[in-house]
Amino acid sequence: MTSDQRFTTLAWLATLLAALLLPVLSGFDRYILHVAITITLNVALATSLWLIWTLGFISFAHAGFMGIGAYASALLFTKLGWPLWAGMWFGALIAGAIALFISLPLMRTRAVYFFMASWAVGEVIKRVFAYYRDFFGGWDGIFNIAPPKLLLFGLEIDFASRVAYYYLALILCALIVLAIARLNGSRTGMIYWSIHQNETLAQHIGIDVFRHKVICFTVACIFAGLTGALYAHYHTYINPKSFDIWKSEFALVHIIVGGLSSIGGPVIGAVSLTIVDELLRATGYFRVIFFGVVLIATVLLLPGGLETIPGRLRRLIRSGERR
Amino acid sequence: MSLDEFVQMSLTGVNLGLMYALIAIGLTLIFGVMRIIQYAHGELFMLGAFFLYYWFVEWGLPYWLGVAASAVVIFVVGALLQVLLFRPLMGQSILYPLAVSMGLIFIISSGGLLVFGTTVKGIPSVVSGGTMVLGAFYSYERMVISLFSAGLIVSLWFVLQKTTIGMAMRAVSEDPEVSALQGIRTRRIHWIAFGMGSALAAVAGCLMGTLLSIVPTMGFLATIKAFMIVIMGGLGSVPGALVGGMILGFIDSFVTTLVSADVAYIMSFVVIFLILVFRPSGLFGQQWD
Amino acid sequence: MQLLTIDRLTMQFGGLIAIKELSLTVAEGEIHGVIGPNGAGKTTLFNAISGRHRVTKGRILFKDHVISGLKPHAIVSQGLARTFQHVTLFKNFDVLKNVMVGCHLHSGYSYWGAFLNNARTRQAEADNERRARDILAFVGLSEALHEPAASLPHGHQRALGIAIALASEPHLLMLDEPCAGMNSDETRTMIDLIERIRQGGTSIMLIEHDMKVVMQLCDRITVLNFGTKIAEGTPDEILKNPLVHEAYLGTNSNVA
Repeated sequence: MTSDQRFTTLAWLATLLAALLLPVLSGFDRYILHVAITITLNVALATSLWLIWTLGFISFAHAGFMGIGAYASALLFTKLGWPLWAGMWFGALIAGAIALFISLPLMRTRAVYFFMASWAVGEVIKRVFAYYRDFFGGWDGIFNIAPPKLLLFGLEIDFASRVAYYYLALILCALIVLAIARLNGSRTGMIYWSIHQNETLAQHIGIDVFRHKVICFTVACIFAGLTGALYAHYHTYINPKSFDIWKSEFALVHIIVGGLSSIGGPVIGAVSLTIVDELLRATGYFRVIFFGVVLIATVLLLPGGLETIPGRLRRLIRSGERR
Repeated sequence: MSLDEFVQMSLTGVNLGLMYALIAIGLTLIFGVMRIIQYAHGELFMLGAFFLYYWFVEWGLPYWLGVAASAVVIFVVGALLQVLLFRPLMGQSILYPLAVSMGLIFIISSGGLLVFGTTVKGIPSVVSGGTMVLGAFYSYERMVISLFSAGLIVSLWFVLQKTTIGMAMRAVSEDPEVSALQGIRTRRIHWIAFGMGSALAAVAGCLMGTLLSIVPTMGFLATIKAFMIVIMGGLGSVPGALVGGMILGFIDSFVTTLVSADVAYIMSFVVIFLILVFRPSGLFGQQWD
Repeated sequence: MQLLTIDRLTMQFGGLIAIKELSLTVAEGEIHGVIGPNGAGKTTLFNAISGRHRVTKGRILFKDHVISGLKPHAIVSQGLARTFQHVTLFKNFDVLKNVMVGCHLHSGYSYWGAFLNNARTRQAEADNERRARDILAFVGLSEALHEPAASLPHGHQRALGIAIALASEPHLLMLDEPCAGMNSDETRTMIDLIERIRQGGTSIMLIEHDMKVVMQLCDRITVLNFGTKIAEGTPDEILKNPLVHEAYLGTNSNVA
């Protein structure tokens, strides 16, 4: 293993360790646990959005698919009494099915048009939730989405407890990140990046570009749906505004600021910006202004995002050592 | 639907359509010349409206002079944004200008809420009275605004077709490399086009602010409508933006009155989506590869 | 059986007719040249054959299967690969990775296999890497395996483009101006490479402006002008054809 790879592996292990120990280290502080759960959900959303980016697209409908998963799981609970354990898989599947259906016409659009069309999809999803009051609760949303209980080795774990929900979210988020990392590191990832760089050439070496676009988008939306179900049962209340264009945009900010070329980017971006967002929560509008400034500053001054910082530091140190 | 209702909705449709066309033409100009997605276009629309508000309502200066001043000020703002923020990104992936314009939305709309406050404001009319057209009431204010918008669009057509700057802009739109070889200073055309496009949005903001109300968050909805029109009409096509604007104006006018605003909104999205699927380059657009 | 048959092909873009009722055939084992002044429709012809642009009228058959109307990836899987006039590479990949992607068709790829990274996938990828190295050695790029594609000198980039096309193991390889922008040394190397490709059993269709290359390599030549065929035959026949001279009159044609 090269020293770069060793550094990366150590960084991931350290992060995982810190995440596992967080509740203990923070003294089981309820607020910190809330932020931590929010971070894991944001990481999951950002990483699945990043998967779409590896193919060369940005989807502005991403929060919409998170919403589909959330509403599906919420409705299965409030109307049929199904717990999260069933709701989240169904939520993910329904989000995937709708994504598959939408992607067939959507993937025929190119570049600029894709961004607009995905935007339209996201808006329509949100408006559908808002319009059908009887079924989806309209703008008021759905209440009383209770977190589940689990019987494990004779112990009953109530996921209304933040510690328990945190570990649940952490495990699922870690699985999502692992799955996407695996996809990206395999030939599938190589195919996605090749389509990203030169779609014509990719077609001419025998890659069925359309099929890959559809599958990638569907998989990413399945992960988004799963994230949505987790969101719903944690907050116990959802409304259409939870899944609007701003949520998709914040996820995009996370991956741009964090870095676009490896899976570390969305993770770093989501973690750091969620923390910053929480720290600035009291400042009202300055919070959003700050996000805008950070975004513009990153694009103009730190292209490649936060994930390039370790590399830059190392090169700085090395060139210092050489003297 | 009676005749006067039909006439009423049509007149509103024309009125809205022309103002939509102004903001859409501004956007299509920017995209045509620079190939960037100016996601913050609506924010300049909002700033134009608020400039007129302060000029006319708070400081009591003349209305039409304010509209002109708003156009000039926002032209400068647009040109500065292009030179400082967008020029360094030319030639890279379209994601970066999109990201920068997204950042601008955050800054400008939240900054607007901070500076201008959250209360909804209005710009009072300068023209009163009206006339009856086929049984429907048509205010002189709307008439003046419609005529002004139409006049502005005609002047813009004139500028693009007959003046050197206009032809240079069209040349850069079609083929930036060849234009540069022909001696056109493309960097200058870029900020001019950005300024002009933003100024058009500002004027649209002034006019719509007079007819409707203004609030610092109005920019995003304007951006959405502008993009819908530009895509419908074809990216970079000015006639497309005009036709698209009129179509959207009529959809909004008729469907909002007959059904509801929400349905009008969803319907316009669905219409755009369908147009994109069947005519991927828009009604008047060229192939983008 | 002809390897490639083009039957009254017409390509129209809006009001512009780029190719008009063109018919030609390419036989197994031959190097077939396509020449003509700029704008004659040569690259459009390649684009029609490879599926990059839709055929307006006419048919294209490869190994007696109709390929006109198929998508590019389906055509490539039948054994027909091409290079491009302008340098077309995966700029952010290194040289080796470019060819390894190119091996896609024969990589034994499957979604689940790739995801699980089981023993079979690992074995297949090891084979893919070996094949990629062999192809790169064949085109003379063994020294540059881990260079980013974007940083290669022009001649090497063209060789890489050919390597990527070869990775799909084509029966017919279409080369679009492989010698463009090369000096005489690089040209000689390219001629040698093309000959070796033919000796390996791949038939070749070649667009070229450099007449020395065309005359030296090609078994038969088709001459296009304004989208139609004005002459066809062996290099000697083409050299003597007055219509060909007329088409090239006034242009710099490097005829030996």
